Amino acid sequence: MAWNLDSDRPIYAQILERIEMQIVSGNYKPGSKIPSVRELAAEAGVNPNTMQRALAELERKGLVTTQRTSGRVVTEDMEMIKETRNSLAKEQILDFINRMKELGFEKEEILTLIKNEAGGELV
Amino acid sequence: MLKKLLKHEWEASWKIPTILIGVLLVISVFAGFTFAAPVWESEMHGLAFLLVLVWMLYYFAIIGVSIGVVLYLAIRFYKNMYTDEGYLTHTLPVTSHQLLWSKMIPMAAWNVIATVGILVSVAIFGLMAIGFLQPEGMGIWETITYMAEEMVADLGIENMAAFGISMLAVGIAGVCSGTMMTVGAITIGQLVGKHKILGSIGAYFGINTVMQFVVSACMIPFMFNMAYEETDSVFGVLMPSYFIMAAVYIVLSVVLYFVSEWIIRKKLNLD
Amino acid sequence: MSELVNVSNLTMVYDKKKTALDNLNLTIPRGKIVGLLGPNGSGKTTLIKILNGLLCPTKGTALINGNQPGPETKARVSYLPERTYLQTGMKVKELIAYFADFYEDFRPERAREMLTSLGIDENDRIKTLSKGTREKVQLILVMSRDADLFILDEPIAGVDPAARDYIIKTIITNYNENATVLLSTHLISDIENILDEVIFIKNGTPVLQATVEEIREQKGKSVDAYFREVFAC
Repeated sequence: MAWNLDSDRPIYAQILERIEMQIVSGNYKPGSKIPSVRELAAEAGVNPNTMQRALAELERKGLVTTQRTSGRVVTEDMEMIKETRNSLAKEQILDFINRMKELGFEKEEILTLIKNEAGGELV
Repeated sequence: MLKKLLKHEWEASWKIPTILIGVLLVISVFAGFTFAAPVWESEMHGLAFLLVLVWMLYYFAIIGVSIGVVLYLAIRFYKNMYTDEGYLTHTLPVTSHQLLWSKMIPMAAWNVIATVGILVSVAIFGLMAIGFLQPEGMGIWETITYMAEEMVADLGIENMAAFGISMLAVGIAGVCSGTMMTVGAITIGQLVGKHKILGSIGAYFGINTVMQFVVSACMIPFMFNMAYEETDSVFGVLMPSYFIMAAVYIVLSVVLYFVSEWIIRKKLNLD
Repeated sequence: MSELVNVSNLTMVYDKKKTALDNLNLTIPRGKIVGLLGPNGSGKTTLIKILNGLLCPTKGTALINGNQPGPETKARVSYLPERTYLQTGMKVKELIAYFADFYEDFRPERAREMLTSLGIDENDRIKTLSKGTREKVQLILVMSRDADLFILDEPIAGVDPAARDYIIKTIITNYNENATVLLSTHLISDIENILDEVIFIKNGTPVLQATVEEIREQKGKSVDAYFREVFAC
């Protein structure tokens, strides 16, 4: 089934996020092979050239490496995966904070709210 | 490419005409057996009536085959070229000349085969009639040669070879023009916006009229010749006119071919 | 290498009064999936027919690989018309043999593979198949070629969602990097994710040619939404 993509944001950026997420969450395991551009494009229901571009960007970032024998492989550099994970988390948090600010919350209030909510959940 | 086109055209189209001709041959044998028992001499009128029915069936079978084969191939041509199937036919990597020839050659071939089939059928019927009726004191072969001599004498054919050649010329020209008229009429009909089939039928009669007119015009001098000159031999006078007729058929066929090719290349407009 | 398709001053007037294409100019590059988008009667099908040599333009030229439409271009263009063009008396395997005979770039094994995956029996005669299955057979035949240019006229109109997904998947998996797919549709939202570029055409003239990402980045909306804006009545 085709991936669910927003209709008003560039497709390329959305695919990129999507694959990063798969890697960070461990769905694509470190050192494992990534499906070919064509397979991924067919799975996502997107243009192969766009998929190609997204994978090239992942390669540039170092999350994915190309090996002569087995095609594209997820990096085994755990440090890099962790970094990506952190930066994705940071993005989410900043996004969250922005929206809370739009709702009129101050920094202190936000922290308290998180503590209350997450605390309850974590205990 | 023409070879491939011909191969596929032949494979797709040989069955129905073959069946038609096969059925005709069976019917002619069946009809021939009516001579085995001289029922017309009997008192039972019902049997005689049955006999006439069988002969009529045979007669219609001959007409049916000669029209059926042409009609079947004409409809196939129309469907392949100018209906939805045309979307494939006209996007094959072939030229419009090749397309036309790939349709016309089997059409002409079937024309000839159907004619031969009908002649064979008539021969079967005739031989069976002679065989069963056996005129007094004559074998089958003697009867045939006797009848042939009678016929030649009646028609006043003096030069058998010239007669044969002129008939062959007319025959070949007839096959060519018959095929080309079918193909040309259907193709010209495509120019008539919404009523293409009606246009094709109209074009067919139009072309036919033109052909008849030209042929008659060419015949006039010979008619005069025949009327004024004292001659016993109708064929002697008419022979050259056959060649002219054949020439007219051929010329019109060539014209129709180029018109058709131009329409396919320049004016094609599938719905 | 030059552009794959080069259309210049293309004009098509039917019956001396109906103008379907009006001095149209455009180029289509290699290796792209291009959407030809426009409302009904905008000239999409006319342009497609001219590219396939099914219509002779009133004026102007349409070149594919630098050639006018003819036997050379037809050997390199794979065309899926809106109509079903299969001879109903033929069997599926006979059609495969037919395509293999005429198109050098036809890959019978690929066609068989796809037929098997859809559970279509090669020995079936076309006349025994449903309309939907006939359309799939036709798509399979068209997509089993290694053509330079695939021209698909409304490939997803009137099919159910499952078939639509199959068609989209087939297009993505079968086209190679050097081939271009030109597809016309009015169901833009279903197909825009697989497009590189779009050409908007209106009253026989192109009003826009851009990449999908350009439209999304610059306008902040989907091609579908932007199309509605451009063609708003």
